[in-house]
Amino acid sequence: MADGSSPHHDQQVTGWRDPEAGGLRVVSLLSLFGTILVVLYFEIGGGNLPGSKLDRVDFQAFRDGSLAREVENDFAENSVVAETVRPRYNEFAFRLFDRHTDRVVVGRDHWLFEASNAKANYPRPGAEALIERHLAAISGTVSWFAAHGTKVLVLPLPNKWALYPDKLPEARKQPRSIWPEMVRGLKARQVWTLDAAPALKPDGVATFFANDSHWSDQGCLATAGLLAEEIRQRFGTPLPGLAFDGRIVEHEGGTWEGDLQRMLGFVKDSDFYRSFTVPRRLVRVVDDRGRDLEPEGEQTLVLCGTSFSHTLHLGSKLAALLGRQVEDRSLPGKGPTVGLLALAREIIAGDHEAPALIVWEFPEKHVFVRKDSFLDPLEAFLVERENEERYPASSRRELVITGRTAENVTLVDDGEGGLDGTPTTGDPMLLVDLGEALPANEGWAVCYRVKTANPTTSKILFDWGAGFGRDERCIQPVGGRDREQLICIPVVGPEGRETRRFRLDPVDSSRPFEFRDLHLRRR
Amino acid sequence: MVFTTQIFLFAFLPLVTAIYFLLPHRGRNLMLTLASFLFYGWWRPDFVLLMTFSAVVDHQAGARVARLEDDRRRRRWVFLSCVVNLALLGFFKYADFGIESLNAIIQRFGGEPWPLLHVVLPVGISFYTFQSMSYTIDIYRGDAEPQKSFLDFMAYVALFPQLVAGPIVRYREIAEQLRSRRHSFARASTGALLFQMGFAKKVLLADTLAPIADQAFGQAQLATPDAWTGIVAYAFQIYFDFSGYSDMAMGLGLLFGFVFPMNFNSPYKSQSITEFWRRWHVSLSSWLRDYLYIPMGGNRRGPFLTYVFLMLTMLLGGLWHGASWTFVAWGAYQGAWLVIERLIGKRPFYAALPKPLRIACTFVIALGGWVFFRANSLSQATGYLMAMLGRDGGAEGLLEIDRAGLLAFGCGALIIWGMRPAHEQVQTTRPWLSPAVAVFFLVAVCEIWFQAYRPFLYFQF
Repeated sequence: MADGSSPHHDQQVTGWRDPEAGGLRVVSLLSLFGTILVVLYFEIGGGNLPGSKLDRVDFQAFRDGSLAREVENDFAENSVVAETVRPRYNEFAFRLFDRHTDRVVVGRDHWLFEASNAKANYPRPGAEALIERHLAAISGTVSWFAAHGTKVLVLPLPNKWALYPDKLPEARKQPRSIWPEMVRGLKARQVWTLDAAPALKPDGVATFFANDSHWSDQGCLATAGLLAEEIRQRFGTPLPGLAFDGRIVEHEGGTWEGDLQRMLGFVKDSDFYRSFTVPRRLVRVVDDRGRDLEPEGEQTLVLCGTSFSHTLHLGSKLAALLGRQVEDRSLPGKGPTVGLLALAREIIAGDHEAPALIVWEFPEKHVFVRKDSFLDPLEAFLVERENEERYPASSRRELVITGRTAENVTLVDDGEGGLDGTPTTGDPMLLVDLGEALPANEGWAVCYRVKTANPTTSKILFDWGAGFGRDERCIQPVGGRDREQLICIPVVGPEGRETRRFRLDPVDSSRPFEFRDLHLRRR
Repeated sequence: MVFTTQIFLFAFLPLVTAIYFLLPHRGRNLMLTLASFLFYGWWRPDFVLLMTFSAVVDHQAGARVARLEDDRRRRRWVFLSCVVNLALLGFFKYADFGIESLNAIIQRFGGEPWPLLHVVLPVGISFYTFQSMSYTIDIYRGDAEPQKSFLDFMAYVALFPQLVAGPIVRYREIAEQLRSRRHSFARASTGALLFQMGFAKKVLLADTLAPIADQAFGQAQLATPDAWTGIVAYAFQIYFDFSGYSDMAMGLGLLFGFVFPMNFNSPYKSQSITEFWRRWHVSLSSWLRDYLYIPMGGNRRGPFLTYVFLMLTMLLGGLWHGASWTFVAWGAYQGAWLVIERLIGKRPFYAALPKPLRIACTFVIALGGWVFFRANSLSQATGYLMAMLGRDGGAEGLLEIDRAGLLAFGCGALIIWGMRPAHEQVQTTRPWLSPAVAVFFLVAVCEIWFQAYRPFLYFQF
């Protein structure tokens, strides 16, 4: 088998000396290639080949490496061997070394916490400015509803992390939480806010499940009680809306397998997995025959919330305590703004009457951790409303366009007067030459409609004679979620100047977008 | 592509190995080159063109240097090779750093900052440009013969086992092996053993210690014991990460018949910083010595200039690691210690201490350097050093260390101070070694599905 350069030569040049081929040395070859072959045998048998899950191959994805990453992730995530081995290995690693997924923090007495909660905490650079933006977006949204005759009761829920510090490992006890700042800031802005912390403070009763990131039945009920009291105080009697005839019953209700428990990834139903399962004391809303009761249909009291409200039926508990129907628009896994903004758009479209009251629940973590599901859509909504009001459709005028070129983007006519854009490299942009001059600061705005999947920004850079100049006033947020949005960029620039050219970046993102209806409006 | 991913281990490696050994000898370099292109271009195919461009320039320059007799014209070709490689490195690695540094000055005087270019750094560019450049210089010096076949030269530049994170293999060390190399059962099995050792070091030790170091460097304030724990974790992490990669590179090389130079020789057993640099990242320190320090003048121009050259070499060595002032500070720190040791007679000031204490002192000095290396800014580095000296006053016990972390500390210390380096161990025929390493390798394979993705630290350099 030996061929090529002599061992003597290799030793002379690199100092390397081939060892003798001892009997056990074969173990190394066997363990390396044996492992590879065994894994491959099962993966191929299970249909998991690199790239087999791809539905299309596009050149751009190949070029920027996203295709390679997709192939890698698919191959790793769909692994047949891992599916079998991983739960056992997770258990082994936890038992022996205390190791577990870094998405979960294991605290005292098997209490589990969501690791991402820590991100919401101080100290963090720029935290104050970010809180300010959140407060402005929340109060802006509440004001918009108020202008339509709807009161909004904001219910930000404190993190489990902040409520159960004694259950956290010593090293994870963070000095501060953003929760008090949030509540103080909202109240200072005259936003009707309910501090749920008193209801959720553990006082002999576990208000959160030890193995879950959400509250327990008792935490949910206590919050519903606090809410009902607050609403009664504000509205007096009789409360608006239709009557709801349900009663609350509480009884032992088996066990609860929490989301954090599942995230640990142990062998399902093993003794070890079950050691994290907790007993549950069930709180239900029932009719006079003991059947579970849910409020139904469009109502004048509305609950918009997250998985907290949805999973343990905050809506029906609140309805039972108020004796009034509550429309439950809480959505699990979609963030805290989808339901609320959908309701706002229904009100605008006349599909839903403006309710008397909205209870808007969201957990504290969204404030910092999920900007794309909280801050971005709210800011985009407010800007869109402002555009509609500041630049009325009646002021519309067509732009006189003499030339248009696209850079860093492939544009395809969608057949309905719009353009489908697929960014290539860098910022996608349209360079537009005008047949008429646009004066600065005279109330004109360049308007268009844009639609894309993820939240981003859209901007125009006007050429005032010295190239395209960036101006913060000419950037607007885009909410994403594949919803078309009106953007109106004000024509602002040096006093007394005119422009005949601008650069329009429909999205500041490498994701595809739709673009249409470029026109002018005036204040 | 990364060695410790499923795609490499269960798709790329078996496929490439199988095709390689099925091919006749004359097709193997071509096959390795193509495989290396796939390996390197996996995440960014266009960077393969950049690497090929660098190789074309150096191959041409090398041929001209060998052919020409006029020394001035030969020098011009060497100069061209160096300029092209350094320009590539300069643009891709240092352009934004240069603009940022310039902007800091411009803004101090109230000027408008220049826009950043946001250049994407091609992985491994620091390694292959240095490697490729040394080829032309070696031919000029008469230390190497030019490679007539561009394909074989490309195989040398692109060779996937050591392409992205070293060791920096000089052409003359591998020239003979490119022409013909030895394949044997002993060499292949030793390669497999070394690969598994490196894999286990990276996955089980470096990646287990990484979160501890990350936690320490993520704290705004730190108590002294936590600061020391964090920096020791980082010292272990970077050693097992980088030496693990080198072991894997050497192991894969052996599998395909190549012998690469050793890159780590138990550096934390050093008794002085001078010795540390003879044992740490040997291929880089010897490259800097042969192509920078000695050509500048080395120790031939009197003591003062020797110190200046040493300092300059270490500053540039620091900058080679990354476009940041923290790396420059790290280079300056290392250079200063080397100068101090030279000043007092090529020995450390603690030379009179017993050997274990000399090793401990050198390790502590190295830890000081790692603070600059790991910190995100000079102010963070200063704050961290203050914490190590007890001047920061953070709350104690903020570091979360699980049992795996403690075990990694223990095993790490045992390997670092109680065992011989991997490349020496695999050259012995200890019967327990292969089965023991196989067990750790299997655990490490399970672990790659378990852990969050952690690329090799040296990829960023």
